[in-house]
Amino acid sequence: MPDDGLDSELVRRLRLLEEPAGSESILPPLPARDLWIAIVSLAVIVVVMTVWGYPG
Amino acid sequence: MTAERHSDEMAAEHSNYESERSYYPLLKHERVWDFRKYTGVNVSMAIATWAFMQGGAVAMYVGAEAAIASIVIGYGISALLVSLAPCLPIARYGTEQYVTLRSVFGPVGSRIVMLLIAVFVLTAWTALLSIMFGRALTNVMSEIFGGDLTSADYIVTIFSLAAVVGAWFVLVKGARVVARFQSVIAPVLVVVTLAMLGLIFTQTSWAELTAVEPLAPMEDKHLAFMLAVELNVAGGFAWWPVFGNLARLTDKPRAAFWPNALGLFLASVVAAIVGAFAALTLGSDDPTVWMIPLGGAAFGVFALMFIALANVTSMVTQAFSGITAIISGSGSKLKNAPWALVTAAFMVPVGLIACLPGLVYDNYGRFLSWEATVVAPLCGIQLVDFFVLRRQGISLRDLYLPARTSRYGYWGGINVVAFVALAAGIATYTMLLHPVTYEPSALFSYIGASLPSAAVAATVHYLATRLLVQRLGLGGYDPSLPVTKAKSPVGQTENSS
Repeated sequence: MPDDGLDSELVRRLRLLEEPAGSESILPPLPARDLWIAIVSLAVIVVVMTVWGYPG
Repeated sequence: MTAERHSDEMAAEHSNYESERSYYPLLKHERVWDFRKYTGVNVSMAIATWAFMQGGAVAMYVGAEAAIASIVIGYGISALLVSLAPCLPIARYGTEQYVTLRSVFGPVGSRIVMLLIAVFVLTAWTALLSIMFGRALTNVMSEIFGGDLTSADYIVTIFSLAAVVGAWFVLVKGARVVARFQSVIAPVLVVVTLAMLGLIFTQTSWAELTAVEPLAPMEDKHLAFMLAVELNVAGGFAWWPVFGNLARLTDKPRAAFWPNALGLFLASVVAAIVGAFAALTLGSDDPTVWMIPLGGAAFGVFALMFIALANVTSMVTQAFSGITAIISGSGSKLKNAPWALVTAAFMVPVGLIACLPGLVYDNYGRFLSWEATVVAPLCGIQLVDFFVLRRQGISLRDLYLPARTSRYGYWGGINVVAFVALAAGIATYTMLLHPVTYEPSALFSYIGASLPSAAVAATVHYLATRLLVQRLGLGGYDPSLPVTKAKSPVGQTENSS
């Protein structure tokens, strides 16, 4: 890939990060299960709080 | 010493600042925060003096139970959204927040967003903290000399300006000392918060507290509840400019996500609820008024002095964020300017706002609304761009290439479509809840303002990107283009789609 004027330190880092099997690669995505747990938990909390705290 | 060199040297003094502010993407071994450490960071950021203001503002509209409900609901929603964007894309790629935003707004567009946030949002927050400093010290002086000196605005202003000058001095001489103070301030604030909760319930029973009417009760209880919820949604969105670069230092995706959702959410909720209880018990939404009546002279003066100190350190942190963003965003123009001059220039509008305490401090809800008008749609756009349009795949190299060669170059470095979406979001917010008059529309009672504005901005961005940007071959949205991939936990390379 062209480095197009990028400084040497940046190029070094990009090469390390772009290597998927390398020890310095980027992080994997958050597992979808975690996201669904958060969304469902929030939905439950919102419902419970609304039922309990909504001004009568 | 030039601005760029000074900010780099200052940043290098503290490993977190260095990594947080560095232009380069972070390597794995530079990510120093695991789940536990990042949770600690979240808690220390969330339990800050503005959380008390948040609770005080909520108490204007609703009583104790509704305050708990609206705080939990509002912060829950916005903490989740901010945990997703900007935190997850930044944590994944290890890139600075506004470098990451180049994939959405283009390199020039991202710089525009950064300057807007730095100039308008961070200066205002810094001023807000200085005013609270002024109010805190004025209350201390009132206790020592008698009388109510807080009615004399000029005394508050003098102390506020002293805080501005003091923060500037610390910035010029060595902001690195702030990091050492902050490691002490957070635990003490936790103790102060819990002490306040204990003191409240030595003076008031739960039954008495839940019977107290809001400070400015409204006939329309439903509207009051929605305004309280909106206040807290906006309060959570106010973290958007701050938490992305913190998440960058985390070492795993779960470490980048859950501490926000748990630490930022739970800690903010506890502090805001304590603030609401104190406001309802003492009949004032101003946290600096609570401490002496709540805990007596000794506790009150200590708490106020501590709040004042905490606010100065927070001012330095906010100002540092804003100044480094402005230096980065201005290109070569400011990098060679003297650091003292650049910091002074940033603090001038801070000082001017501090001279008008009624503008921000006494209109905290509106101030949050002004920020949410911009930040809520920004969050929505970034969410849909990263998770839906790009399916969490970005080309890391193209974030750093010049606009003319980068797939994120768009139109001369600006993604006009993203700004159109932002404008649509801002317009939506303004129509639902006017940020200046704070007048809600009829529809606001049913849908609020921040979430619809985020949804409208996200929808406009999605449709316009699919129908225009992608068809023109701009923005790197073609799913066949390679993106930077990670090793999955089972050792195989992730799929990009």
